[in-house]
Amino acid sequence: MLKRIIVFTALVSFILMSCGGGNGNASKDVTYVTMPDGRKIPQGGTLIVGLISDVKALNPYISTSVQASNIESLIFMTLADINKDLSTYTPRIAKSWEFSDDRKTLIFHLRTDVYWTDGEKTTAEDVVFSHKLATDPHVAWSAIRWKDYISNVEAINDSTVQYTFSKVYPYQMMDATVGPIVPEHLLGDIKPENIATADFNLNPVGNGPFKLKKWRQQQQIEVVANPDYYEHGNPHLQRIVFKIVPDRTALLTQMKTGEIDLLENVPMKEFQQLKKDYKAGKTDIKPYEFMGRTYDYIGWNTIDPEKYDPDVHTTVESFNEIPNPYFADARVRRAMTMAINRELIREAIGYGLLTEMRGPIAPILWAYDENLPKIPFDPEKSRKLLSEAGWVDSDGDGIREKDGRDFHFIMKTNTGNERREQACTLIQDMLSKVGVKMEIRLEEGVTFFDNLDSKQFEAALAGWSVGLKVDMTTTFHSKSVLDKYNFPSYRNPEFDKVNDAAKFEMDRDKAKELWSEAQRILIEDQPYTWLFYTKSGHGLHKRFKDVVMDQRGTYVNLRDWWVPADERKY
Amino acid sequence: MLTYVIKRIGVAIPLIWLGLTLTFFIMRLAPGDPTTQYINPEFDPEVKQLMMEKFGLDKPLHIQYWKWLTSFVQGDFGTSFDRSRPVADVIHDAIYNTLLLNGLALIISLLTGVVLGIFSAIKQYSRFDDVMTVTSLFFYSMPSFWLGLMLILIFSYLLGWLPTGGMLSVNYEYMSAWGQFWDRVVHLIMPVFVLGLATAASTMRYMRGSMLEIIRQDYIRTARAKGVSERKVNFKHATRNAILPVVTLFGLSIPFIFSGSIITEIVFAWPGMGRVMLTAIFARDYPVAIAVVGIIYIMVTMGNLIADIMYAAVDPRVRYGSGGGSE
Repeated sequence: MLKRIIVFTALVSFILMSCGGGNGNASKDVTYVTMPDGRKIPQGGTLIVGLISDVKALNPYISTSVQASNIESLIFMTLADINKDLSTYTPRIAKSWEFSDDRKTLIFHLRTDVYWTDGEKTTAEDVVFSHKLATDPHVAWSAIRWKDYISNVEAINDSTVQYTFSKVYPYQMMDATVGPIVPEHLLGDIKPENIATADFNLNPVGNGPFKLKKWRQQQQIEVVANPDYYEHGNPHLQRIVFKIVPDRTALLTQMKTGEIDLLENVPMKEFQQLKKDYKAGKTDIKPYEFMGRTYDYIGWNTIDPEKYDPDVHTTVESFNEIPNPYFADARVRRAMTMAINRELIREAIGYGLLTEMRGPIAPILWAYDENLPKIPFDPEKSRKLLSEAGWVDSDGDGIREKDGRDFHFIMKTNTGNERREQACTLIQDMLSKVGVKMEIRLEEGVTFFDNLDSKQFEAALAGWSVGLKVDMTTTFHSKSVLDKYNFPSYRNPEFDKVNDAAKFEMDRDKAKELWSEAQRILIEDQPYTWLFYTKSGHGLHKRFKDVVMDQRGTYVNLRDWWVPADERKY
Repeated sequence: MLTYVIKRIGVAIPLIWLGLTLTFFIMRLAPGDPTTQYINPEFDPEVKQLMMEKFGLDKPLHIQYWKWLTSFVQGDFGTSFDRSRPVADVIHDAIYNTLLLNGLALIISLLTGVVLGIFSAIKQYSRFDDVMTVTSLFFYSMPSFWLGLMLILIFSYLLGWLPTGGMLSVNYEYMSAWGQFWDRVVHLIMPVFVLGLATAASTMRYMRGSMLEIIRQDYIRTARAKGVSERKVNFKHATRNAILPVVTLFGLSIPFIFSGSIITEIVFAWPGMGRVMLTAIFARDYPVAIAVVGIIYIMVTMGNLIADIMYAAVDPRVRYGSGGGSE
């Protein structure tokens, strides 16, 4: 018996070793393509991307995750792509466009050499149909509101489309081009309410640089180069595999073992190590760092969560009846910010990837103003402000009181975000030094956001992802208190006025001044304490060349990436 | 026997219904809904309302319950909110993977557990027995996620012998038939080992204990006295009786084969039922979560039933009459 086991083990290990290094060798006859700039670039190669979770559909009007829209951006195309400045555009399906003099209509002239991968031509009808799909409430596309001011889309002929707007505003072009074009001949006959479960979502037909080859649910999504793609020589890579690995540690290990080439959002601590290792030549994974799209903040609830009743408090005015005992007073909110050493927090937990943030407009947006006033870290002034607001420690227990109530509140945040948990601990300590007692409560993600949404919190450490438009209506406008994302129930008519004016100001300089003005009001009132803006850190194997990654995403120019023939791994 | 089985199933059905109903309502009591995860300044709350209508979540709870119950008994599990596919498809994909992994792990671990248990008992207090006792306790108490990560560290990261996870290689479609088979095997080694180890260790302890009890019995001594060979005494007379507790263990393990094991599946990126359930719960994907729970309920009940029936098969003392039905 024992003998047999030994023989078997030996056999198994022998076969194991003999199969260990057997990666499919790339064929040696490489084809080169001459690009418009005269460079000769080898065609072929495989990129393997690690993803933490699978996507739900590869239909841009059904899927909801960033991950899905990234992959969709390889399979489908929009009329025009936004540039890095987030205000100008590069032609794609539309080769040119022009506004009418009154800016109420926008005409796109389409390319005539774009084909769906099933052989059908992409025409103006597809554009009209895509708009119909985007605005159909049964489809419930998550960005449906972007199309609110587009009153009509019609095909003038096969290659000309006219958009008519009900309003003139700065983001007309963005709203017209958002949402990729999908094929009418494959989706047109499906009832809108059945689009969500259409087979198309699993077997999409697009016209972009890549096409879906095989999707093994919960395992991997494989796309290959589309031979009929319109741009000469693109894409260079032959194959991209999105490999689903649901565990962060496992993802990181796979990047280190070379099983995946690209890992987005490497944990900050690991990213710092990666930067060091790459500099020292100890790893082939090259770090890419750029301004990200998220920021973290503390929201101070201005209303009393215990007294809030969504059936009673149905008007903005009614919120005045239930002020929060601590944070309804702007002086207290400012005192909180002054007591929190944001710089220290960034240094302690950020590993060099967190940057300063003073107001809600992100540094990647054109309206960003670096000269906004800054609320300094100043515990002395914080104490003074608290006393001024009536919070004094009269019984000498180290905690301030007012009207018999201790300044003792609960800070909520979501579990699973180590950075936020650490920030909470630091903040707890900082606030205790000004006589404020803070308790930390960690809640599971969905529960936490549900509590934010129903205003069941006193203070919350949360984050926002930043959109491409400059707009603060959904988060700070007083009309957003009732049904949108103004979680702290911040109400200031003065802010509302400036925000509304800025939104429709066509003159960039004037608009920027208005946005700065709106931000100055917010900084004065501090409905949030802005903690930090995050940079993204991605790791990609160094054999990939001509890589651009920026705030628009990781795959913005993936069709230009290439691998030197002798460095090819697959 | 048949009447007994029918009777048992008759009792099981209301039990399963009760469990599912409780699950249905408990799940709705959890804060949030399937749209909460999309909260983002560009995601209009009106769209949330549209989505809720699309999912049928805008109706009163008792109507939702009735609708769910009537389709559930007809075998229609509904459509997953999170994956935009029929729940049956989602489960179909995952259950095969889970069956493969957990079935293999269970069979291998039971076999090794039984064999090692027998030897441990026969050679009680020998060095082999001591080593097995210590090793089995050591592995039994080891958390599986840690063991999994250590194996990945050693065999994938340091030695590079085995893939860190997943079920198939990225190049699976481009391999020869033998290569594809082998690819499956190498991906199974570590997860099967991690999953099976604890079961093997506990089976071994059970087997050893029950074997020790049996070999001291009179009939074994009689067999020896009659001159039956040691081999035959141990493996035929004793083992057949000593294996009974392991049969129960097997029956009780059946639901586990279907339900998957969340931790191992996540650590090794195995696309199975455990992951389906976990993501469904976090995404508040009610139809998927309740279908998975339903399958587990059914399997637990069936597993108990199968264990009882197998008992009768291996133990002639157990008879299920039409009148009795107790064990």
